[in-house]
Amino acid sequence: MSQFTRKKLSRGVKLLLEHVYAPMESVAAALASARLAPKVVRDSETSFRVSFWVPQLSGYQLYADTSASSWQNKDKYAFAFPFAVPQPQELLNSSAIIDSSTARYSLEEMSVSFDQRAEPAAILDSNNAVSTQEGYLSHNAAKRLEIKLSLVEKAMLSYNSQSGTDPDREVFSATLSPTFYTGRFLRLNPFLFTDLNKDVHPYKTLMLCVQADGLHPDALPASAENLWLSMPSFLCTMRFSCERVARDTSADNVQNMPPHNGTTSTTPFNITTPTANATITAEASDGISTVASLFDGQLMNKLLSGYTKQGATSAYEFFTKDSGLEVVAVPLWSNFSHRGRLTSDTVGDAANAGGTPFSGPIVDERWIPINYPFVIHHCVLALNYGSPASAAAGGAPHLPTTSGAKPSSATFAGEVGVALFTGQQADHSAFQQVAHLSYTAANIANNTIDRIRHGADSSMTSFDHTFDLVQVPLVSKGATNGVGLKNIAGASIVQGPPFFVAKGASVVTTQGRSQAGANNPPATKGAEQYIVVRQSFTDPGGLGSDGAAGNNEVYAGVGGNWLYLIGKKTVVGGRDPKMTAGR
Amino acid sequence: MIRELVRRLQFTEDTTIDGNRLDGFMQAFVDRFNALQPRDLERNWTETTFVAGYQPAKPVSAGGVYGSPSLPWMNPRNLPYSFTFNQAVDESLFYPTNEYRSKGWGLPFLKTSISLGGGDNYYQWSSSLHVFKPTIITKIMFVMRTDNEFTNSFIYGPNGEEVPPGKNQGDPSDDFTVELAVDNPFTQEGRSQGNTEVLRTRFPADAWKMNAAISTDMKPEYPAVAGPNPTGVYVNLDVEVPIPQNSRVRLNLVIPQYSNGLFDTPYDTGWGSTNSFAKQYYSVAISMLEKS
Repeated sequence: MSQFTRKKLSRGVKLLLEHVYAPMESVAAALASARLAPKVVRDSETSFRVSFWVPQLSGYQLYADTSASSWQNKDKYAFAFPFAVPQPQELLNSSAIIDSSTARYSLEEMSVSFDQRAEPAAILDSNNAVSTQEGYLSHNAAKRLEIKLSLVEKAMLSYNSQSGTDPDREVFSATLSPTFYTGRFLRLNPFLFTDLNKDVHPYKTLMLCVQADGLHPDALPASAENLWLSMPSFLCTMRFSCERVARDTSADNVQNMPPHNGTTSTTPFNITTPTANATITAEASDGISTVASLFDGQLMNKLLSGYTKQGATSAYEFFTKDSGLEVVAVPLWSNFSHRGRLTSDTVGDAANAGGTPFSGPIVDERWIPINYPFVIHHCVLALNYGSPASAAAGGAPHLPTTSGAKPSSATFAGEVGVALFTGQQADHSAFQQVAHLSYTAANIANNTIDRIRHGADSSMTSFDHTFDLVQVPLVSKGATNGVGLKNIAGASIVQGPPFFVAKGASVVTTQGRSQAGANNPPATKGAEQYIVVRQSFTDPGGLGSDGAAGNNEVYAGVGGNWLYLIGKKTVVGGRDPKMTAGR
Repeated sequence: MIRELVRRLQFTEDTTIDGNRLDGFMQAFVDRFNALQPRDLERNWTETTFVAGYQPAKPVSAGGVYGSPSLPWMNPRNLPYSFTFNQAVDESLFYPTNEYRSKGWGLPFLKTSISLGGGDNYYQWSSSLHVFKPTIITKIMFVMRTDNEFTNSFIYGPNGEEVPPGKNQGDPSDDFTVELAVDNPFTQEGRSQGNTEVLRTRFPADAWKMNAAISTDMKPEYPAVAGPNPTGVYVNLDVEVPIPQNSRVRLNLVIPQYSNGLFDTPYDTGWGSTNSFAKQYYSVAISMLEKS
């Protein structure tokens, strides 16, 4: 239904002021009070992407079986990337009920690419007969580059304890043919699917599965004809379109928020209308042409909404909703060792692990630049236990005979944190904590929101799931909490309110940012430049299997762990002042 | 001048005001504000960020047991001769189709006649992305993080030995490259025809350091034994690169390895002569604005 309506001027009806001026007054009132609804904008939906960009998807990292007989069960293996896009805190329904306030989203595009060295060839991985051939080209083997993609979803255990760990619906699937990659003059790499328009359930867990059986040599042992292959720098990005949502305001108690509190500023939009029974004219101060020109002028100046690059509001705005969802997928511990996994058997090769039995702590860290404003509502960690077993035991390069297991040591401790950082080319240098979780083998379930694997045939682990999806709670704003997700026991996870992120224009003042965690003002003083994501593991008894850990206990399986920053972003762009904190 | 954005009909002196004209005018007015066009909006973009990165395991040469793959790092050059393609198809006639995979990475003091696999004198990490609608790439970040175990000092001559010609001991590294390229729409597979949109090369690494005077670390804390302050190089480029619809965008990162210098002598640098990809660990990001 349209936001603005009018009375029809049908034949024989007396011309009244309301026929002409009532619609104008209605539009003027909406402009003056920033009440233009998203539905009045063509293509008003925003978009966000979930992108999995990994150093490589390698045959030898996934397919541990070194016997040809085991290789016949290809469905046991898949590269998988689970994720969830929980509703923003104020829209989160504790019973996962979808209603008119739920932010709905749908899959629109999927793009897949990897590095072929600009040749119609496949790339050899590190496990072939001649180890120095890692990165070599094989034109013949390119015919084995068939890639099966599948985006699946499942009900979360936190909302349905009977939902199991296997996907219950396939949202989208496709197979990329090797012919895409073997043309001399044209290769479809990257390949793009568009206009998919696949609805996604907003309260379910999603998982991208990638199967590329041709990365395995097929016949074993590998030979000059049968090669282990890799897809270096694999990137799969999925673009989702999303209904607009309202941005956060003072009611949401946002941390690190500028003084504007997200308030929408308005400006008067006055039109002059004739008095009752007055003559309707064209060019008088209340004439039709004069009044219409005011609306012309407003459209010529364009309609503002959203934040500036530095996170400021505009002097006046016109829309009720100017935000959409945002997801930033951050890889941790991927591509670790030739087998692509960080386990109790390979942990000795991690930096800072120390001597046997490798007590750590070992740390991986990612840096993400802050460019435009973003409000973090949830942090979700995907813990990956996928470490398939091999048919034959062996030392280097790590051939476990049992599938991956969860860390079990009573003294094991994992920790993950998200922080803002300021300090590049700056006088002031500081971290401001955004989210943090410290967990053990015994209490990780308290923050687990779901468990998933790629299928019932999976042999990625020795138990019924490959991944734990874990909420990493935002820090609380003093004693003030926000709205957390539910864990798999149905209990709400305590976390802080949403967290505003925007590079400010100056570090000289605190910019009046609101309290962040225990810090008032925030430690970064409103001048954050980077988001830093860090994960660590430690065990005084030893992270290695020579210590407290058992064999093939997995800290990050094939494909690595992932941390998702999930929140809201406003529309941006336009005539921002050209001020940047970096270069 | 009147720019008639909400009307299709003129109402001025000497024009008529009748029911039909007014009815048409009001319908156009209401329709206009019920279906605003993207051009009416001042801000109509949303940002998206791609993040990559990893921490290499210890190579065997550095005390590791299982070692680290060099992938995704490979040589930036596909040599047309003097090596054996593995299972190549008639290499003499057709291949390689692209001898050079990217542009702007060669150093005057480091040979570019390198072999096929990883290693030798250069490593390249290349990623690509298909852009369907017009976008603007606004940020390119390439972080090479170091600590007490990832030991690249990003200077020439950290051990007081021979440095490349023109360099002094202690000079900051200026030998790695960041390139953002867009494939030529007519010869998409010809890298020599690609359009280099951003090229940062031969710039000093010490321009991208962090202020290390941090009073309180984040949680989890960086291990004290590893050197807790953020060291390394944090290349963080603000760019404004408009990308046309249906473009193929490539990010190429190239780092050196001093296996043999101009006169077959391995120069003294922070990268070392082997496994230079494992001397630091990585965070890579691209931010871009898309039409909402």
